Amino acid sequence: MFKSCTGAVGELGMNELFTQLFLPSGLLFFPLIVGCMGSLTFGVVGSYVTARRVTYIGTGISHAVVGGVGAAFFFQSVTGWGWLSPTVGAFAAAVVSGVIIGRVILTSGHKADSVITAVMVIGMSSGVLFLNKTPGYHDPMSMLFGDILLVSRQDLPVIALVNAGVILIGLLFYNRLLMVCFDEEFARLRGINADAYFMLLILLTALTTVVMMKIVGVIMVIALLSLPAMTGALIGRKLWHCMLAATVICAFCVILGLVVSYILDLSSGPLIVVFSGAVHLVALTVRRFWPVSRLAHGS
Amino acid sequence: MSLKHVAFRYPNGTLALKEVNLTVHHNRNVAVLGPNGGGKSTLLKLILGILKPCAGTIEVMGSPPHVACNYLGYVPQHATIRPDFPITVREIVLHGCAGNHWLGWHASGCRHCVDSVLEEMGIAALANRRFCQLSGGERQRVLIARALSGHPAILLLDEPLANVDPASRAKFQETLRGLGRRMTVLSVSHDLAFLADGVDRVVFINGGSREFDPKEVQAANVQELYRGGGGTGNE
Repeated sequence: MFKSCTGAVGELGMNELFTQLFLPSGLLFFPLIVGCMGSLTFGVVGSYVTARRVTYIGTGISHAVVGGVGAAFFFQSVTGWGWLSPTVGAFAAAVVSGVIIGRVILTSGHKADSVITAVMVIGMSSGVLFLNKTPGYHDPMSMLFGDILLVSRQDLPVIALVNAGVILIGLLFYNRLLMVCFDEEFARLRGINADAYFMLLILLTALTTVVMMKIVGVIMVIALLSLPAMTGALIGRKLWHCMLAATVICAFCVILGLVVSYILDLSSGPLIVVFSGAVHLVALTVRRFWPVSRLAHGS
Repeated sequence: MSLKHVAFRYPNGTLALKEVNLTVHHNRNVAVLGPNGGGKSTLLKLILGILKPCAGTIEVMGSPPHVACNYLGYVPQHATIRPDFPITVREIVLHGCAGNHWLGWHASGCRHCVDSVLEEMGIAALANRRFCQLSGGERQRVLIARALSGHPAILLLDEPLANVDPASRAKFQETLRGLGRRMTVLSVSHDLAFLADGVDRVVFINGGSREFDPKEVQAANVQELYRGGGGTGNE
């Protein structure tokens, strides 16, 4: 985790903060770009999974990814396969666990809870076991909690490409995904392949989880997938309103988290999640005194 | 719409329906009544093609249900729908006329159709409201409007009075009677309030099926019918 050079607000000029944030040479420049790009993905995909009430799928996938990363480290060191990077392992584990969870939900929904738990714990445990047997030292903590401040210029193209793909698919199929998320049965009756769209949603969740785990780690990626979207759902009348609100809230929390972590010499990932939680609690409190009927009469 | 010797068995082996025979002609208003667990919703899912019978045949407009799905308008119990979903009334009704475009883009004229259906159902003023803000009766009207926007020939309703308050029931039933004059309406309910005027036939489902004239049912002992109404075959 990044530790601030000064650690005190008084000693840290605003100019230095701006330099770190907005100049390419600044420590916070690339994390800021990745964080804002990720906010868009979290806003779009998070709103779908929150509205469909399947955030637990993200939890299952994000934990199962540890198994993929561990296996990739192990087989890379044993076989020498250079292409088998931790990111490839994470993608493979996310897709496989997503397909397993998705099929179980579609075919026997009542078993989903136990299957997701099994996928989650087996994924994590096997990941730790693989790391135990991998030569050299691999810190599982960086995987679990991530570090946005370690994001470099080299990471940017991959993250940007996957984010762009996820957002494009999420927006292109907006009407279909909206229909399937709202009433799957009715969508089927209208001749729509609801199962395929549900699996597409799971795939988007899996991709988001893998790419974004670098920012906050596998444990807290689910927080950014759900908390801003849940807050957005308190505000928006339509799903795309919620996506927009969730994106803005997520970006706000990422920027605030980065700035505060720099000033107060604290870990950025947990701070971002804490701010997301705080914003959600504030929104819930406001909603209690200002119900949705008053928010939504606007148009 | 015709069902001949239809039977359905759930994967766990439970026989939900046996020897169900039912023929519904154009522009008839049919009430399917029966006790909870009698197989009413199963029958509806068979007609919709969601479930497949283990015996017998089902034809809708001369075709199997899954082929005829564009002729069917379906109004589920709104308890099965996520009420807090961020979606407006207009968006829900638009789903009813969702075309076959692979991206789900709406055909031209769809928005005009939605406007006229909203007007017809008396919910035009609610078009931009969120679904969760509506009362039970209003939600039911929205779901009917969604079904109507697909221009169905047959309207299937699952427990349409379940969440409608007593004060709104008469108005709601009047709406259903109006719809029954221009399309086939099949309403599934455990609620005997459906025996009100406007229903052409009553079908009792309790494992099997029995058809009655509404007046016949009104005159009969209701409890007796519920206990013995599931006899097999039409009588």
